[in-house]
Amino acid sequence: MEPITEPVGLVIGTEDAFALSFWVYVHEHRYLQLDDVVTVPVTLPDGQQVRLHGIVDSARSRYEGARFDSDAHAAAEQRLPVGIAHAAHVTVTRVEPEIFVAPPPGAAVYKSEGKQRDEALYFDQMLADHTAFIAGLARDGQPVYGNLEFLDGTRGAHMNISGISGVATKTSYALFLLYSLLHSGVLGKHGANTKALIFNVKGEDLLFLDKPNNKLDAEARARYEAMGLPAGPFQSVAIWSPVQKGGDLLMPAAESRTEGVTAFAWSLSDFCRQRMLRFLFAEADSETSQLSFVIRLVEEWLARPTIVCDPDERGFVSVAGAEIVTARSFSDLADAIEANIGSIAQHAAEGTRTAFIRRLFDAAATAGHLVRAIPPARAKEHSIRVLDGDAGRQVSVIDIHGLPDRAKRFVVGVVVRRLVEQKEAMGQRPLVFLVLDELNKYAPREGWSPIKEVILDIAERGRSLGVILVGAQQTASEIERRVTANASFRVAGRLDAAEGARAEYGYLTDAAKARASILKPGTMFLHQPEIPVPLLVQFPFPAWATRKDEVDRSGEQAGPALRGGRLQ
Amino acid sequence: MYTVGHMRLLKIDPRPTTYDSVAEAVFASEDEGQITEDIEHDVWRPVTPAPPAAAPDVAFVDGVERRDARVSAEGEGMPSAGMLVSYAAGAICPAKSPPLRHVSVQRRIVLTKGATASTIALAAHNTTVDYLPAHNAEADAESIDRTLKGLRADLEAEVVRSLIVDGAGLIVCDGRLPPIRDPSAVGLIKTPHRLPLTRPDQMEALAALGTGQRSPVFVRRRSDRAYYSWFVALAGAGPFDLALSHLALIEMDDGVPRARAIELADLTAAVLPPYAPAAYRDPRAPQNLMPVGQLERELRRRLGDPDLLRRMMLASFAKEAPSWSP
Repeated sequence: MEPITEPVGLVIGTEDAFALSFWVYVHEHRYLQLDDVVTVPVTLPDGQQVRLHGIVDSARSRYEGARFDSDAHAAAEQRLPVGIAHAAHVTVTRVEPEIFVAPPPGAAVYKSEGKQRDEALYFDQMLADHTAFIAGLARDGQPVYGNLEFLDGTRGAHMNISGISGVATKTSYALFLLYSLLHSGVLGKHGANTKALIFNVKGEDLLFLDKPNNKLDAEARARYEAMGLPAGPFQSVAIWSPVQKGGDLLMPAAESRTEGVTAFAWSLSDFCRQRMLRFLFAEADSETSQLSFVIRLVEEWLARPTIVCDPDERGFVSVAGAEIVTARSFSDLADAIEANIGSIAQHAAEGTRTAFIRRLFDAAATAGHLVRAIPPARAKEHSIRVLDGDAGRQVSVIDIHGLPDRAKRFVVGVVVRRLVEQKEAMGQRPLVFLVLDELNKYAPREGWSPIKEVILDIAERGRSLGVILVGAQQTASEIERRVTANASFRVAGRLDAAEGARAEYGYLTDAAKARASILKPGTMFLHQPEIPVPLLVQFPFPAWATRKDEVDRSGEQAGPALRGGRLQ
Repeated sequence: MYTVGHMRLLKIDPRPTTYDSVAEAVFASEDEGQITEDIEHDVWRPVTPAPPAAAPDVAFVDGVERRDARVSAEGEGMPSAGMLVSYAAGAICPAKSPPLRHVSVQRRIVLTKGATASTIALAAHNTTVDYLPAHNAEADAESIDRTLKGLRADLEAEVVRSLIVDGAGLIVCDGRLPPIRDPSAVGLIKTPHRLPLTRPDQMEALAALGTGQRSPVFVRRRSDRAYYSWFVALAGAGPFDLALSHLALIEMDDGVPRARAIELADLTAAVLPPYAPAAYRDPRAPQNLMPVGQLERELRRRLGDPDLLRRMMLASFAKEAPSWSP
């Protein structure tokens, strides 16, 4: 692009120009639009040169010399001579060197391109430090960078994405970002070992990440190219689907895809030993009741090797309560707990014990099939492994969309806690990205739950653990404050106007809030710590399939590795 | 109290008393013999012109003046009065882009009794504001006003000449026609102080004019010049409006053929009413035409901020008091 050296306008003097915001009169044959980056060079009385960089967040035009609304009509009929003035409001993003003066009225304003734009948006430092990752494209097609140091734990971590379901394309953006991080080489030597864990909470649209998208057109390919990214599917993906309910065979429940999908479940023995019971009771209210006390007691009881012994070759466990019984399924285990609840929780009130049992059987009905007798030899095959093994798959997609809420919470709780435990042992690098939509289910603002505890733990310790939470939800106001407050990157897609007015979106400027209610799918506001204003970013059409009919058939035939799969 | 066909009524003039009003206009006395009425029609009746074949390209000319500060030339007997003045003139062509044409701003220092001062230069942030010496040989303070009006009229005439060179189709000067003989230039007198009428029936004929109608053309002699004149109804007369408050008096040079005068009378009656502002827009409605109002505002703006200028003058005079020569 040819740099334009002519000023695009002048700082106006009819309204105050401030050090951090000012209005620009736009020259007659030029224009400024929202998100344009501009620079005002200012010479101080002592001869120092200061560059004020800013971004256009409002644009207006008006008749000059008109006093009544009806003057528009008089002017159109040429009865009233008028002038037209276009002006744009600029919010300052950076002052270099840091001498914060107000631009003098009449100062020439230039549109920023290339290096000047990079400086205005702090991209120059990121690019120089090799910490710039592609966070999307500006509307003019130029790349928008994020500073990796604020995502990878060096100076900050986590990303939080808000937006109305369906039009905000939160998951799509999270995936684009992940794709950019994993395929751009910005992660350096740890890149190959960096892992991502994605929960597929809605539809089956994340089950095809490893397939090229046959609807990707040349224009979209060009956009990937402009960002220096390959236009293709995720390179290394493991797909996990919960086991089907009923039947002894461990078949994945996913409907749209059968090949390459592994069914996951937990063995009765692991359930007891690893104290997973609490995650079956993960409603946000259990702390307020005596229930959690009973849950702890039962967990303790199940974990004792003298009570629940090692599994036999079929995966059955015997439970030595008042009687010794063999548990062949979760409901057998539940029966054994019920039979012994009097002695396990002898100090708990009768009502609490009854409540516990009632919920336990409710859980058995909704999530019981995920905990079953699995022969020890095959248990590892069906347990979700993010960090250990599975031929080093980089991205693990865990499909929980078909599960009832209680089962969803169970899976998320168990997997994420396991992840934290492993990372505690492994150290910070390589990183693990955890993509979790519908975060409000797991870390709601009100109440306490074991999952919320795990998510909060990640939000607060994730930087040092190397677990980066990419959380998404419709409304940030429903999320635990400490989770959103710990996110260095905040992203907003289309927002409901009332939601946008809440304090959680204080990082959006007033103009950005107004625009957030009309954002198109594929367009987001991105806020990062170094840049004082949110930047509008767009991201290209996914290069990976998001539906069965987008799967590139030709690619499937060509790639024998994708056939056969690991179907149970 | 009733008379046949007439009602005796008091009407209130909505126009602020600081402006001239038709309520204070007087009839020309019959014996003045200055008016020739039978140029177009023997009997006065409303004339309804046909719409013009093509809209002419109209230019409106106006000027403004301002007394910025009084000065007193002292040090030699009785002090003599003087004034720092600013004035401007220009044209506005509503159909052209940019509409403003030939705008110029002038500043003078006028001293009475033939005294002169050197140029007063005030340094503003972005430019220098110069008050050039102007001549005035008279002794009374009111002579300064006359000098200023003369300077402004000269500047307006200058603008009209430039428009003639441009080939403007119709030049409407706000106020009296400058001393220029041109078949396209007319003067628009908003409020005549002396109505060029001699009979009450003429008054009634004028009061009955509807929007776009005009009076017959007549010839009026004023001081050393004669003009073709006619009244144009810029708006309809409402029941509460003062009689004749909806009219403007137009004058043009009498050196052109009579047919041209009638042609121009028709043209003005058809072309000017759309430019007339509604009452809410302008206290001098409908005579203060919208383009003229815009031009006047713009010219005043270009005179600069009076408070700022006065502050600059005080600072400048305090720094170095200018001298004067008799």
